[in-house]
Amino acid sequence: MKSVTLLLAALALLWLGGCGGSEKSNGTGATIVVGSKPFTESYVLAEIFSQALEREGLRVERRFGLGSTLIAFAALRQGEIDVYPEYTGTISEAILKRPGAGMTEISTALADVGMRMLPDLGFSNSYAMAMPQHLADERAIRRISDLTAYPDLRTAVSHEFLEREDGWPGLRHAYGLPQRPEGIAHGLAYRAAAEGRIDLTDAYSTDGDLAEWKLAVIDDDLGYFPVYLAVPLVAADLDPGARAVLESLAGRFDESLMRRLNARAVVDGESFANIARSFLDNDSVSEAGTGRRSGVAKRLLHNLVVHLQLTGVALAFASIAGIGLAAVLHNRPAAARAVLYLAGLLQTIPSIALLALMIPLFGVGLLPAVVALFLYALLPILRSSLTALTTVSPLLQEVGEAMGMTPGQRLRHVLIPLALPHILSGLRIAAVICIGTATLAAFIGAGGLGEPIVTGLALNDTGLILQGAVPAALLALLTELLFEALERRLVPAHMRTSPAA
Amino acid sequence: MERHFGPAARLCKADVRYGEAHILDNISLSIAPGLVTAIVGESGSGKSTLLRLLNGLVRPANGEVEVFGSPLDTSDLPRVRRRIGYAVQDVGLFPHLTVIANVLLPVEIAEGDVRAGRRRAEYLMTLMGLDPGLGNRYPHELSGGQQQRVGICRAMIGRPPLLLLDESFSGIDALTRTEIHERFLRIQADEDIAVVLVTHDVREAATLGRQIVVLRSGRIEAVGETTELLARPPGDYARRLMEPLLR
Repeated sequence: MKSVTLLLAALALLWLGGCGGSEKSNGTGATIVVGSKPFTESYVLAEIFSQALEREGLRVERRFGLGSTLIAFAALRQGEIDVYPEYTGTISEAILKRPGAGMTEISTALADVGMRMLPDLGFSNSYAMAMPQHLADERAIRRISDLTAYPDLRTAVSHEFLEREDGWPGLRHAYGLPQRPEGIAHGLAYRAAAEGRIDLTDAYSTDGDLAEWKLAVIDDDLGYFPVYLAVPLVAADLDPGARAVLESLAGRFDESLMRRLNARAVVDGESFANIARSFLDNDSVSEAGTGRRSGVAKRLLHNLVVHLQLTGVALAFASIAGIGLAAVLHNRPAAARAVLYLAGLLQTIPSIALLALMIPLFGVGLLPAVVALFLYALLPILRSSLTALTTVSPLLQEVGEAMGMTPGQRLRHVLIPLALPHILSGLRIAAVICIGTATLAAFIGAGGLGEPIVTGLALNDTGLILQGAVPAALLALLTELLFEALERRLVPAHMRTSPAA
Repeated sequence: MERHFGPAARLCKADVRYGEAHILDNISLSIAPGLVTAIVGESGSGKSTLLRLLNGLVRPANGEVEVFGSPLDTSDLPRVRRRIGYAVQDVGLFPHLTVIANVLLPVEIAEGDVRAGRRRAEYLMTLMGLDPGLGNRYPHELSGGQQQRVGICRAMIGRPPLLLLDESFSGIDALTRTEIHERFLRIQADEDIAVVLVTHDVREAATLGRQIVVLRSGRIEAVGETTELLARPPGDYARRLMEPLLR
């Protein structure tokens, strides 16, 4: 028992070490947490917000790449972030569900949930439909109305667009469009269109790479798409100094400037930090400051450490819970079955959905990610532990009992050692699952090796994606080897389960 | 260790039922201290169940079980069981432990002196004709007969005043068995152990047992001093069972 207490204490320390620096505090010297959604413009604007705030001496923490509008909005609502760039159209349509709401109506509704929309940045990034230039020329498609004549166009739109009332459903209704779109990650859509694998996709009017991919924007001739003015969306109780800084950015942009800034990130591969710095320099809010720019190796190390923390803590708690539950349940078949069903059910929730479901409960960042990973790791550990414990020979259990073992001693001397080979294989599977799934945790601002992947997806930057994917794969491999070594140490040769051992 | 006089164990009108079936029926029996009681009978006669009554693995539907002079304390079975050695029919060595770790396990769980236990383990293994060098092997590397003897050593490691043996010598080859029997009796007498030995082999029962109990379909058919019983087998069943000994 003492060792369990020690273990829990160690985990708590590890946990505190992992989160300690990232807790948001209000009051003097407050840290402003800036969020962004996972697409280029959102990153660029969020980085500009961050550097502008830093230049005024405010401490900033970046939580970029939050998986979707709902995730970012929930994070702001829960006070996990203080500001992120949003668009008026998105606020009225997707968040407040009040299509066509006026500015005052939006402001009132936001105030009700403790938020405030600051003056707009000076440009609108509206939805648009785009297709390869040559195809548009070939079929003389200039306006969205023209699309009705071509039901055969292979259409793929971003998942959010596919679902949003002001996205595809409304557009199809307004124009009577016959196409049946698939969902596609926005970061991949332009490349897919340029390579001729799809014919039509949704676009943002300020996207920097439309020209690069030789895509034509189709005119919204019925004026269906609402205006999407970019605004900083902030918590109502945001530090007044910070608010002043963000308000000072109002009207500093226009559409062509934004398109150029985006192009520098997507086409030229310039870092967000550089783009933001030069924007602020030209635009001179004040003299140059340095963003926290770190080299690839340093960033990689940081991501790796966060990744290990995420998976390590989740796995440790899942082991305690899984093995503990199995110990309690292994001679209660009915209860065991119920718990297994439940754990199995959790496993069937797609990881990104499970992560998103954690936000209302635990906000964004490490905690919800760890909880989600914990839930994923639980099933393989619980299942293998249960199998292990229920298949331990009844004869040997009785021998232990007859020897005068207390229930605790039977667990320690008979059940656990005999179950260990199976339990280890469950832990091994759970660990590998965790390492893989943890890359998705970046969508809810937990960081880790998923961060370069999410950013890379937004920028369509394969190199950046590999910076996350390769270390994650190596880590999984290393984990396999580690468990093999552990098995070799703990399990006598004739009782090992892994084929390699 | 507390010492008591009178029987090491006692069954009084004990019934064991499994559903409708009567496994043991109205069994009354005293196990003499410091002596070997052999239980014989055909398979299915309830011999193993009788052993398991004595260490509380089986509870009687009716009747009483007394061990060391008092009713079997079901509220603290581990304490009682640590004073009752038990070698099961199927040996039941733990596959994840080496031979020596198996033998020492009862010492470890009773939080006894492991170093002294190690010396005793070597002594017992040597006595049972096992090379102490086998200690570092795993059970599956030993022959069936060797495993059985390890099982006996494990049952005896804690100097139990009561020892329950279930067919514990059956896998040992005939020549070695005679030798082992002799050595076993010597240590049993030395340490004043009450032994209940279940065996299907009446020769073994006669060699080791001072008292013999004949079980038939869950009832006691005959019970008595070995010499007495051999001289005057009470009834046909006992006579047929003892046939091999009566020339």
